[in-house]
Amino acid sequence: MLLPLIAQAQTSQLAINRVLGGQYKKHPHSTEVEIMSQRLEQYRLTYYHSLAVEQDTVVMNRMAESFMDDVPKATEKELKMRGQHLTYGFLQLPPEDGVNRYVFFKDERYFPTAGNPAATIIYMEGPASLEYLKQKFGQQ
Amino acid sequence: MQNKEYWIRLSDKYFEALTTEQEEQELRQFAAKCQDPDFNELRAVMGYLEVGRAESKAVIRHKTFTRALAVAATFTLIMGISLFFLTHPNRGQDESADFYAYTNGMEITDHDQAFDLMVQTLQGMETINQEELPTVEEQLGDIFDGL
Repeated sequence: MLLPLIAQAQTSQLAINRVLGGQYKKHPHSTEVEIMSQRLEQYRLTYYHSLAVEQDTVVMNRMAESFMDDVPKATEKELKMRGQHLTYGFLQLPPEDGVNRYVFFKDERYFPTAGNPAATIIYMEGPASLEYLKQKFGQQ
Repeated sequence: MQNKEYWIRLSDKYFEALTTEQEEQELRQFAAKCQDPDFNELRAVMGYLEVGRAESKAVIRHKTFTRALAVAATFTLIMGISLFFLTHPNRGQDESADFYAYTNGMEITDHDQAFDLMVQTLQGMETINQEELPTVEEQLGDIFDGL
């Protein structure tokens, strides 16, 4: 089930595919969600894939590295650092077949959090603009 | 026009099962018109057989009609299902084949739960973004401003 979905998404040329290839889906401290459903249309998206990992610093570092490797491909980006550490990142990739592509990353290890700090990486595709996504999912 | 003796002889032959198809047909036509009580037995047997044959044909017709109805219903059902999937290409995949989710090594099979995870994750991203951290550009700007 996993492979056909990934094959349809435009991640194959991206470094983040090193961590979004499904290899961590059964990791004991991870949450991986991949959706390609008509229900995404309500968010103006056609594809969504996220991976959040806690406690495993090796995987968390790998997520940060793969995100950083895709930074040169971005047409728009926003990176926030704390010291030498990337804490938040956003990339807008060149559209493929008219589809907008976004990558988000955050690393909570450098923030005080209530639970276990997690690193999260998200890849999304769809007609949604960045402004729309911020409005839709931003804090009210 | 045959005489009575002929019909008696043919009738006897009929009861002995020695008549041909053509003779039986001839005898059947005679029995249908004949009022002579000497041929009551013949009329009774032939009438009974005629009724049975008619009922048999009716049963066959009924069975044929029922079978045709079943075939038509099956065809309509198949066409309906095919049309439904043609007009809803994602149906059948939806809710199962177009998503997957795992958390802590356990598979999530509920579509709504997977969507809730997606929305929570996206909203969590914004929480970090709201932090008053300088961007890389702002940090670099600060560095160069100091030069």
